[in-house]
Amino acid sequence: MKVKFFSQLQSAAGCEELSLFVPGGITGDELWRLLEEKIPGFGRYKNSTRLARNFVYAEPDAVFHAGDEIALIPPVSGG
Amino acid sequence: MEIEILITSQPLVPVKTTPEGCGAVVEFAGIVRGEEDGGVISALEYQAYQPMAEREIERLAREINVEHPCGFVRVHHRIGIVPVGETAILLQAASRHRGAAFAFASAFMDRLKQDVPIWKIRAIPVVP
Repeated sequence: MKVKFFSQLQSAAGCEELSLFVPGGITGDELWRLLEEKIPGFGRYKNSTRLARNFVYAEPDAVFHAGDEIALIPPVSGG
Repeated sequence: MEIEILITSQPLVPVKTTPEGCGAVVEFAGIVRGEEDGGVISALEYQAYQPMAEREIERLAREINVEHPCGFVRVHHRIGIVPVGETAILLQAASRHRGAAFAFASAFMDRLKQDVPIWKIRAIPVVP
């Protein structure tokens, strides 16, 4: 799956996106654990970040699969 | 309701709107101010997750339209570097009577600032 970062999360991750290999589905909590393993300290953004799957905000109990485009959405500030 | 959505790095151009059947057009323009967080700036830089931002704009517009029906809505948002004094967002809401258009515009801007994945990523200071 592709994981995309925006705004301050892009700076924190040091990249615009990551590709993760997930053999089955993973929950949001599992995704955050994977990201924390790859980017130590990244978990501090969890509480202020929403997850989106394939361009739609994900429900809290969503399960993400290979082939999904996941976006980490920090607080928005358009307008 | 007809919706026109544009997310662009080009300057936003005012467009005259007179949809058929609509007697009211409310227009909101969000302009970059010359200060941000107490500092003098020359520009703001915006970033969007464009495919999702377009979908969210349409979703919000259709949701708000249920309560405040409009015949036509135009949402243009600029991304990239937007100099002070230039328009970052242009919203036009057209309805039969003024109440719905005013209410739509207000509700839409509130929701945009909560849900649409667009960010001010950088304030560019004035170089002395």
